[in-house]
Amino acid sequence: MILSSLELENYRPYRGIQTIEFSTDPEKNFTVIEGVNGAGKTQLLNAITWCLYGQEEHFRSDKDKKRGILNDYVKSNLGNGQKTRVRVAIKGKDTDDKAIHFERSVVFHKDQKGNLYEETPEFICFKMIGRDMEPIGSPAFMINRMLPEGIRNFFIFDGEKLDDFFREENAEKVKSAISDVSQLTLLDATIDHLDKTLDGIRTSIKGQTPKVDLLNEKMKAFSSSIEDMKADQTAKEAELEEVRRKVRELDEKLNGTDVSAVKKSQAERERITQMLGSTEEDIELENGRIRDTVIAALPSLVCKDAIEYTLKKISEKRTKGELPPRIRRTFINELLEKGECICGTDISKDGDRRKKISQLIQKIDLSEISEYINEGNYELNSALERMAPIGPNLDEIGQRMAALEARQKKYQEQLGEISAGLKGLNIEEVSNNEFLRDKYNSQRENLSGDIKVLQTKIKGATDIIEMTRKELEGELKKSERNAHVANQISVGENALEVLKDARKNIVDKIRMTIEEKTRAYFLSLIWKKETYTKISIDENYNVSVVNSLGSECLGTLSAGERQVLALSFMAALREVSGFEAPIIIDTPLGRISKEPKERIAEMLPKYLKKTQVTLLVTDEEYTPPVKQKLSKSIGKEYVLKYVEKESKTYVNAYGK
Amino acid sequence: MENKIFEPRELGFPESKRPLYAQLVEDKFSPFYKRPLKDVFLCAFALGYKKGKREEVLKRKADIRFESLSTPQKWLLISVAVKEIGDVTMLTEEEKQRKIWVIAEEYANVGIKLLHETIYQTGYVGLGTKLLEDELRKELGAHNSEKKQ
Repeated sequence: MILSSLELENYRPYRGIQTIEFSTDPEKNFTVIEGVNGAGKTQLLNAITWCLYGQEEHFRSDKDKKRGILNDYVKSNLGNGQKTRVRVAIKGKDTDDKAIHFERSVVFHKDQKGNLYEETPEFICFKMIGRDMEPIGSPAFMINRMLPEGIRNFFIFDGEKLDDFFREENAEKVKSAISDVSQLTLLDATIDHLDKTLDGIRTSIKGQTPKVDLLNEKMKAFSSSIEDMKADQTAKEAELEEVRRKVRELDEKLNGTDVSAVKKSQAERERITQMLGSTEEDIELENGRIRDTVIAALPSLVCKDAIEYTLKKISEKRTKGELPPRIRRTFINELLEKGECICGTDISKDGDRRKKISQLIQKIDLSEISEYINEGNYELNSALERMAPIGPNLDEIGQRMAALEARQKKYQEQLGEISAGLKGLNIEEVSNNEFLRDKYNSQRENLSGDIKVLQTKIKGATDIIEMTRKELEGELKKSERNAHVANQISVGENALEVLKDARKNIVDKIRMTIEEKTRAYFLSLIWKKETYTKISIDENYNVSVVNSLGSECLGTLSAGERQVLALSFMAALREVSGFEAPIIIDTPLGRISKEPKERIAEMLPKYLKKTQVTLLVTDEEYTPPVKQKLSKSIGKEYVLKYVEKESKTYVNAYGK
Repeated sequence: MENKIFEPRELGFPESKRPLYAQLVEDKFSPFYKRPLKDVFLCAFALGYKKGKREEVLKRKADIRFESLSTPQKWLLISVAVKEIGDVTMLTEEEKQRKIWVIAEEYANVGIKLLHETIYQTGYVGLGTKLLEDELRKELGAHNSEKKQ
């Protein structure tokens, strides 16, 4: 889809009718809309999602959210008994190049007592069919075909939020994003339907045997407890996200203070936190080394006596001359079969000579596997040799661990001192904010712990259900009467397993494709090309960025680098989703410092070549160097100007 | 190697012990987290051997690819069977060759419970590596004192 224009009527700050025309030139594919904070940039994002999906979700403050979609001025000047409307219209071209037009509007009227009423919004869609614009019966279906709701956030998004995407634990967000672009609604519905059908069949056999009933009840109880725990987990994850947001907000407040002691403490805290993070990573690395050593060494150490015994037996065979064998057993067998010795003597008939040669076989038992035994002799001796340095190696790792743990403790104490210092400052606001920060941090730890416990419990309950299901299957098979039902359940469960496997395979494949594309985008966009070597998304959806020294460094990326990572991930998601829709980014460079800002501005046109892009930027972001880097790709440029006394944002072409 | 002894395609464990294996490789706090099942099997085998107890594997689930074992690991299993049977000539008879892997699975069958208990006995998560390290240090201590004598 290509956007041609956006028309706003009385929508939030856009009083009267305001129109924005987007650049549709593939070579000059950028439309830039500049405005200071509060001018109405973010409301343009909301206007688009409200028109297409009936939803607004981008707000900078609660105040903005509560205002309502009708323009403040229009609302307060509407006379009793009068009507007005809010309307947002989007015109563009569908993927088949035919004109398309979406419009959502809602009428407001004031009664004689001055109460304001909002009528049901109306949503219409027209598309060029033949020579006429024809109404489309199901506009929601049309939208879903062009840009499904589940993935729209990868096309229409707030750049400031993008930085948060990889700031903290990101596995859940990454998982849900990948699941969204996988477009598995139909498969999920099938799995859900089959699950419910199986549940129905199991219920139908209730009362037939007490044991079956008991097992059915057990499965139901555990299923319901899993549902509860999952709901609890989701709630706690949301709570955790909220607590993290609050900590970030408090950090921003503390960073923004004018008191130099506070600024210094905050900078010191950030520095120590980073060092603590890298020390903890080193501890994890050493832990891994201990794990590897223990797991590799334990079996051979425990079985040392057996190794020595076997080596002794092999050595005995050598002493007796049975190893290495002088003659091969197959050779003797051949002579006996032929009935003639190598010297030409006839041994075809039973006699002393044939008997003597036959007896040789007893002495060369190991001839056919002598090489194999030689290999074993070597491997077992090597295993014994490898045992000697195990103790010293472990001691060495232990010493390194002790030093790292001491360093970790020192950093933790320093962080505690910084916090105590800020709490003790004679500035009430700072002290209160620090107390709150402490409180939220401990809430964060508790919530993370609770979530981990819930995850373990869910896994345990899932295992029990699995075992109970198998037991139930066995019970049903016992009774002939139930054999048919057991068969139905078995077929259903097999189908369910196949569907779940298929789902997992699809999602895994998509995850790997996204991983590959994110890596390619990131390494081509990032300026420190030599610094980063690998980006991976593991099967638990944890994203990791590895530097050239082989260390994990996601936690230490700068805001600019994180933004590039998020942009790369978004680009990969968009590409995999297969939808060709315009991209609209609010404040794309908001949190980025001067130099990376210019670099991203330079790279954006390359990375979003031929894609229709609209950037909603502040004057601080849209600096002359940024403007210059983007200039070749800009087709349309606007400035938003909000006039407070008129409660109105004007959309002016740039330079007018 | 031109002449080899019989090697199975997979090693296995009873269906009933599957949850123990699964927890050890899937639990973030287990020292075997994300490691191949063969690592769990070999440690279980060693603990079973140390206990000196074997148990028949019923409803066998063949989930460990034999090829995933390294040559030293295969020979570790062979050496225990040689000690059990008493002579290396056992390696020339196919029936006894098959017995090597049966013995290994039977020891692992006893050992997996011990391994699971070792790691989860305290009730605290995250101590698994430390507890296994203690086991290893006990072994090292025993061998060192053996040397001194």
